[in-house]
Amino acid sequence: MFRYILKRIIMAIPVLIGATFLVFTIMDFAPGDPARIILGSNATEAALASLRESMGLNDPFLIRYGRFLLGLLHGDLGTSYRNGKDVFELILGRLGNTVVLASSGIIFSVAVGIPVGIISAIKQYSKLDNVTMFITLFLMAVPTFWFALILVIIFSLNLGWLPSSGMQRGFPDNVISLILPTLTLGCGYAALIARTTRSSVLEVVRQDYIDMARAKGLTEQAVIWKHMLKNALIPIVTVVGLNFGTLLGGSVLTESIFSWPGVGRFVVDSISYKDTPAVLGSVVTLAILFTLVNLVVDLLYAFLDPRIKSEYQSTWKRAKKK
Amino acid sequence: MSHLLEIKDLQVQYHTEDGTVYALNHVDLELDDGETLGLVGETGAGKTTLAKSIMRLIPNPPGKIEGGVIEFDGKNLLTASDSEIRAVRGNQISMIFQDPMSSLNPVMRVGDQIAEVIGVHEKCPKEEAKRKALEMLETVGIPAERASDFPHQFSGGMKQRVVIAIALACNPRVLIADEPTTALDVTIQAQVLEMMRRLRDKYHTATLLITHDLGVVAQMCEKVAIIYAGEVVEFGTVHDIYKRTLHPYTEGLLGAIPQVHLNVHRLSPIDGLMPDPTIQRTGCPFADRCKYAFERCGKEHPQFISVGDRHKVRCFKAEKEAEKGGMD
Amino acid sequence: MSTFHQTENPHGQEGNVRSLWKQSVIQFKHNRLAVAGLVIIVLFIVTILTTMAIDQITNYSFYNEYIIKQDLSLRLAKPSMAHLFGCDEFGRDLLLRILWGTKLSFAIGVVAIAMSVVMGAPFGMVAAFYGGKVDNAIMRIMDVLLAVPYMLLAMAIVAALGTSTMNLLLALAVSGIAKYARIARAAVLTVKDNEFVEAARAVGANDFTILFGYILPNALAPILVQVSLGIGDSILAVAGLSYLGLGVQPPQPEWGAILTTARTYMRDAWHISVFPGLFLILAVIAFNLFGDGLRDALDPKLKR
Repeated sequence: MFRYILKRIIMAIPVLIGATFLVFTIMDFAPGDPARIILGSNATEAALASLRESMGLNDPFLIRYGRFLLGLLHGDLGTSYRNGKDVFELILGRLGNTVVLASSGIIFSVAVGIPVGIISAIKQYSKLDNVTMFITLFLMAVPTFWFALILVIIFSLNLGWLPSSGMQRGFPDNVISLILPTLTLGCGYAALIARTTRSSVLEVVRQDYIDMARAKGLTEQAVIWKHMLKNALIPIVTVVGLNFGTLLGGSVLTESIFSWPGVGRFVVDSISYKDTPAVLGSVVTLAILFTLVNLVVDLLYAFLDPRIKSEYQSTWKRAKKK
Repeated sequence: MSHLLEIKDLQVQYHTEDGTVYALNHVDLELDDGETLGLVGETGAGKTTLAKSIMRLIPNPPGKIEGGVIEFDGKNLLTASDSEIRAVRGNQISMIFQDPMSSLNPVMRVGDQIAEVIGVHEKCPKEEAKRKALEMLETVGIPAERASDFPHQFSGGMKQRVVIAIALACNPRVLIADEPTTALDVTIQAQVLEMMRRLRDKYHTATLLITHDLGVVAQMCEKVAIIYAGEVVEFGTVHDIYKRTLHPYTEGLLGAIPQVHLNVHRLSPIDGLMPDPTIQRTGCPFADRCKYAFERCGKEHPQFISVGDRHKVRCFKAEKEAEKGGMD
Repeated sequence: MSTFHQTENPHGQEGNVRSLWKQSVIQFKHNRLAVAGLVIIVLFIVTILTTMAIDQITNYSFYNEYIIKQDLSLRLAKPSMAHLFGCDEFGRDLLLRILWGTKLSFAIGVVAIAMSVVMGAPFGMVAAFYGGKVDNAIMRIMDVLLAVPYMLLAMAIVAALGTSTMNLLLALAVSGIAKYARIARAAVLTVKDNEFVEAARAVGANDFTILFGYILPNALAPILVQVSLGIGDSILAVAGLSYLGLGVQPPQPEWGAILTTARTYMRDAWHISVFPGLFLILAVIAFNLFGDGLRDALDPKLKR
């Protein structure tokens, strides 16, 4: 198992480097002269030229990328054009908030989606199932930002129960201010998980080993918990993992709407200020976060499905024999 | 004398969107202690439905047991409570499913899957159940150290051995084997059958062997029931069925077996297909395919009549001949 | 034997010569939800064509008068008989702006996907067809593209190129390449070992002909299914980016762009938030239902 984890981590490294290269290349197209943005429009041509030279802007592309990558490893992402602050620090101060929001969205969607999916599958074609399937179909089609608007109109403006934006400090205010962003982010995802769970459970229910488990004289609870769930979880984990990127994209919108001080909102703000180092830094950060989550999903997958683990182990055994 | 397992007038239907499927129509069957009964029929005749009915594993909906009695050891399984039936399943009556590839849980170690059934019924500590599971594994010819492997690490024949180990772990009185070798290679089939016979003799387990292979029946069974379109059309000892064949369908089945010692130009399959199970018919369901069919066969439904000691048949032609025989 | 065909199964499953596509059409028609989705899509397309026709006939005078021109006397007017969905912050009729916005919301979503497929699918097909090192090289590059979440990649591209409708389209198209490369690869992998491929090779067809003439037509169904299921997401992405101000720019009508100001006027004019969103949801549900139906009809694995 340890070797499997190690191999997965090693495999993730070139992807991560590739992702930074991709984003760096894209952002290199960004218009505007950093030297002029920093020095302002009154700067002399000579001053601009010397700043460009000292910033290394005249160097070939690959050297600039190499410098960026080295900087990234040292925690140096350059300075923001907007306020001259260290981009790495700015992102670090916001990353925690994004992680909190994303985790809370995932926890909510898994905690709601999986039980709803199971109940729907067990009561297939019942009224409850039909209603659930209709609601999930609807939720999956709802745009994140629109859902946020509606939630705010209902729960903040009309009912006055929850704050419409911002992140409060101190318990329980911090939790309360997390509720609407979590619902915004988590509902569509929960719907997706519920639908996946339902079809996955329905698939497993038809398998002979479920009949076999019943034929052993197990109680229905034991059949569901010991035999059905772990098998049904495998496709669910796949879907959760594959769509985590969508969730991160959604968190950008959610953070913007709720003025949630995370990396996503920072990206949007930075784009509107044409603050290229900040955009580059935060997109790279989110891509790294995304890759790490995918890594965790891969590991979880191997943990759930012995077939994957042993496929890997057997290649090691074979290698040893040689 | 009462039988160990007795099925009387069993009717099972599946209610689907396309109509009602009459899967089992008035099935009668009996199985005695230590005896092996072969249940033979084509695909779709209702063999698996019958097996699952005994275990009360018919998925509801769409399936429903509409009537009849399944008496095990004097107790009607169809009216038993859920906890009573659970105490029977895997403990008194076990089942082996058709496809060993899919009857084991892919994410559970095989040792645990055997120990599970022991743990449920013998209420013994985990260690004890595990020790017994290892013993069981050895009994079916798998080294005990493979208990910690997962099903995908076994071949088809080995998986079926594991399934048999699970089925026999609690030393049941009845074993229902639903085409236990159909999914296996021919050489493996023989091994598995041989092992089943050995274990049956060792544990003295009554066996209901479901198959469409009359050769297997001749090897393994004392009694045979021929099932066609959801009803038992002929029942008797192996000798009755093979040597004193009465039902034209049984005759057809026997004619379709290749026989090495006979130089037949070609095998004679039975023409036609089984009738649509969604239509309830008045006459004999085999009448359309029967070369002996006469007027009455299309109009009336034949009764299941005794023609010998334990030989029964559901056919007007046989009925007529038996009457004639009686007059002689 | 003569009674065989008369008594059994009038639909004659074995002797079936109906083409797979025809059978799929029949199966699709039986799926009421999918047909409903298709009907809604057609209604939207009719709306688009009507608005375009009106623009052409009136030489954009209608468009300028009712979609673009501001009338501050009707600012944030509530829904009424004259203005069913009310008016926006510049006093423009919301219903008309939503109807005229259909074109951009749909067009960008659909064209972006089409571009993704055209740019991505050949990579996946070539990777699957040649396998080995070619496969590895291409798919590792696609892994890199997939390592940046779709929306973020699109945002980065828009940020680098500047905000405009065309750049939004380009950004979404590029961001989708890897997804459709993967889908095409999987689709080709399932058909490339078929005997007709070998037969084509035996009669001397070259790789290009085999890949596009023989394999592609047979791998098309799963790709089409994924495309139709992807359109909903694509429309949502267009709206999301426009909402953030990274897409369609005012005063052009587009559902996401209309919603941009909704947050500001939420307190006084709920209708600006609600109606464009409902149209978005309707469109996305329609495409999802259509895609689900298409999958059920075309995916032989799901056929029982």
